[in-house]
Amino acid sequence: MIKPLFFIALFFFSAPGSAESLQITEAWIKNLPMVVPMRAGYMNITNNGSSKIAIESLASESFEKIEIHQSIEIDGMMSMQPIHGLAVLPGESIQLEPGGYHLMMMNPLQDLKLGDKIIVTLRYDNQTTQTIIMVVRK
Amino acid sequence: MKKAHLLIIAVLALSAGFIVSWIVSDSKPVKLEAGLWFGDQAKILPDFQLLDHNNQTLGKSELSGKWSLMFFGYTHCPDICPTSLQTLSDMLNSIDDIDVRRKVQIIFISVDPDRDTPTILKTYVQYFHPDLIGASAPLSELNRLTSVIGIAHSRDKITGNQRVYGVSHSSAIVLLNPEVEFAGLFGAPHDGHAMARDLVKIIERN
Repeated sequence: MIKPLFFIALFFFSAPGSAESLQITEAWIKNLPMVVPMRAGYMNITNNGSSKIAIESLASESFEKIEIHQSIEIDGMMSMQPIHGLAVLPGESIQLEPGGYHLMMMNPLQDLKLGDKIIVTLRYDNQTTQTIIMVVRK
Repeated sequence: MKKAHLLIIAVLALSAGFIVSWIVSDSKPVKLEAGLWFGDQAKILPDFQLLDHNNQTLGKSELSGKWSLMFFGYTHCPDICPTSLQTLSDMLNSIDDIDVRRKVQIIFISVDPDRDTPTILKTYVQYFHPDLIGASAPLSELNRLTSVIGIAHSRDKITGNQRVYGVSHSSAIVLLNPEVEFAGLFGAPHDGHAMARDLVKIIERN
């Protein structure tokens, strides 16, 4: 039982090829009722490599569009701004968490419910891609 | 005699000073653990008419008799609004005293009435807590309320798809007393447990 799971995990959490990638942990999507077409996604991103890596784009068969946004507060007003090419320096970690950086996941293409595992592909500026699993959580 | 006069004057001046400082401090908002309490200076609100998630009128007479916490947002807001509504729901659940809890109502007011219909609002707010109330109104009516309580909101510039836009909005949670006066304010980031402690104190003393 353990072995296949291990290989599945290895498949999803390792980047193809020898180019460096980011370590993604705690990747989850905030569950909301289906009447709402927007979801926020959160994760911890760490760069264990020796060069800067930027996330150029994200895609999933479960969403029409995914962007990185940041919630910002200016004079008590909350708004969101898109972040293009979120860069992670070597040795640096960036948290995507409620109230800060988050994935803006637009228009689900399937019903989403608690516990669902959603496959998301990250494309980096070093032309590599990495596929991760994001769990739908409360 | 002169010394006695000076003493009387000094005592009078000191008393006057105390009275003045007491009056002044009483008129200032009181800093709570998680927000501000306006005490006797609660602001009377103009009449306003919102539509709740059951298509019923929600105005001053419907809100009276309970302490209302109002949060302003919109359902297409994926990060701040769900986080705040979760905090408010947890806050409500954390009030152990049922009598106190029954005196509190939480209203999520959408500043995006074009997209947030009562049906959508109902499903949305009740996902977080069955007792949450969703409401909205045309912007002109909403502004009658928001302009008085200092809640700013504005739709972001729309580019491309007309249905994909953000709405900037104040993150503060507004407290209305049972007389439906603007009685307090909780600024972001919201700490649900601290808010619950503040609310219990306010409700028990008033």
